[in-house]
Amino acid sequence: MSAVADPHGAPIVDPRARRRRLLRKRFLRRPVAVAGLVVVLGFVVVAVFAPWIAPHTSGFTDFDHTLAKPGGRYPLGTDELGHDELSRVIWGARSSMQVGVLATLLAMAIAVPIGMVAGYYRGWIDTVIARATDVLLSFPFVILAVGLAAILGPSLTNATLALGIGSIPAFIRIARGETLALREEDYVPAAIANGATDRTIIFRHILPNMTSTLLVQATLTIPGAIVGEAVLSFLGLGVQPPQTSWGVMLQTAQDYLSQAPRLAIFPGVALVLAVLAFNVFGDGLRDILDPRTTR
Amino acid sequence: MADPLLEVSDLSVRFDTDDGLVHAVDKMSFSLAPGEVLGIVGESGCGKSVTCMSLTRLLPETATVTGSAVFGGRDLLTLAPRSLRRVRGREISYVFQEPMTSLNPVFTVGHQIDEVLRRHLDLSRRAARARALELLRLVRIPAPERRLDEYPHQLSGGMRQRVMIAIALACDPKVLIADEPTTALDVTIQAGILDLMRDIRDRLGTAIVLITHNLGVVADVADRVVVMYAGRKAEEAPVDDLFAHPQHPYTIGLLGAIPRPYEGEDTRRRLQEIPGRVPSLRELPNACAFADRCPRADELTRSEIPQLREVRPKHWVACFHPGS
Repeated sequence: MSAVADPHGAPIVDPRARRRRLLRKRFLRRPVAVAGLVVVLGFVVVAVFAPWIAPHTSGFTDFDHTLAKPGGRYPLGTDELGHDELSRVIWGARSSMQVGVLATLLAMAIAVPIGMVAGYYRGWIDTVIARATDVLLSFPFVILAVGLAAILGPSLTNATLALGIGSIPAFIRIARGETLALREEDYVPAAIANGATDRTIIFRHILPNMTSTLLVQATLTIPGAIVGEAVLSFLGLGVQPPQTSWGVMLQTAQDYLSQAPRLAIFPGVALVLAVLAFNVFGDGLRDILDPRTTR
Repeated sequence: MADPLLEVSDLSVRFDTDDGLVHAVDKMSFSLAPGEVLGIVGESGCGKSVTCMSLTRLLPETATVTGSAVFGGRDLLTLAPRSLRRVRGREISYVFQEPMTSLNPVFTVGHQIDEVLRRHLDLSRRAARARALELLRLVRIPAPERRLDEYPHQLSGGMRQRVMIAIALACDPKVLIADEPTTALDVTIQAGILDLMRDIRDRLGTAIVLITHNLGVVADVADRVVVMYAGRKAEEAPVDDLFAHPQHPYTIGLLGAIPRPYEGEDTRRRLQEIPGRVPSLRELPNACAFADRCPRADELTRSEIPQLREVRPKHWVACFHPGS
């Protein structure tokens, strides 16, 4: 092999640094996506630093000031047990983010390799995986998650597991479908002709070509899991006191809708905002990651 | 001739399809000397690509390959998958017809060259990048430093084909198999790519198998030509002898179909087409495959398969009635 030094003295620039710069420039040109990112980051910061940000713990009760109006000591008021509403929204963000992100990561970690193996090798293994996925997909996501949570028992961890497992079939289907299409691309035989192993082809050639699709699916799954967690908690299958979540808050707010609609509005707004932010951020991400995008 | 680099004998490929067996290649034999450019010519579907794909077993599982392909003392057709992967891309590389889609769209050109280098030669990131740059210069891509960090969609078709050639040459292979490397390109760019092929052979001594349906391309670059018809070898000759003294009526037909606008007194000469179509490869009758389209066909042609005969020095033909 010849010399390492470039005889023409061309500067050797790290191509990844250039790509990062380009992506940042493209992203900043999309104000809605930037707003989505800001809100998502806001929720993430709130979730991570909840113990320092929240004025009170989620279990804190002030029985002298139940159903207090917003203002003064309790900026968003209190609920029927004297929980500080602001603190509860903040702690709820922690539960929601945790469930949304972890459930999605769990689903991807399990489903993507399975789906890719099915799509790449085809044959009987594909038939088995695809049919099993179809069966699971015939259950609505929430029903599946409720069923799993009921079996596993109520807790935040089990809600995460249930929502993650419930999201697996959709990811398998997408990973399999993308792999089926991508394995027919001309660069696959070209890579085989250059001595690539199956593993190299699956993970280094096919997987990177489906990242944008997976990202879109993830940005649908995270808010789906956030809503799912709210549903499970609303049904009493999610987090248990003294922990709280937006679903728990919505559930207790039901009984006081006429006297204190704000008890439903605050967690509801937080939920909608988080879900919306993830969606617009994901859309922007998909646009900029597409190598065919020029602006 | 020096010891052959690659010796293919009695190579047959059958495809097991839903409609029965298809005999894509029937008892092909050929050899390739070091530094030689071998042209394989024939119509679409005559088995040229299948022959070459079968050498490193790139065909789908529906294909059954028999015969042998000895390369460096080993039969590629029975080599273990691990050893085979070390041959692919390192000792025998391919350049395919579709430069537009044979590069992975999500990686830079440099990354894709690096990948092959690092897989086979275990180079460091820096060394691989320097070598990639050197390869881009070798295939004469303008502004190679910039191209390294560009994505395939930023390059023209001709440049992409040059990148494919750079990838194929990355590990200094002994054999380069170019499957219709110029078919998808503009005529002016074709000339540049063929020029590059010649240059590669001269400078690196790489043996090249050039698959094409274009005799003009062969005349330009090849040393020796194999003409294939319906999965069999019809004729094999050094390139000059083939053009000066074609023996097989099929070869003569192919030559008559080349447009030659500035030749002779009658510049409006009509192109001669070969009547009829390539026969189905389902049934292989006991006859010359070209019989139905051949002006010289007779009883013998229709009742027996012609064997290869050496009619002139190093000039072989499978025909009962050879001659120009």
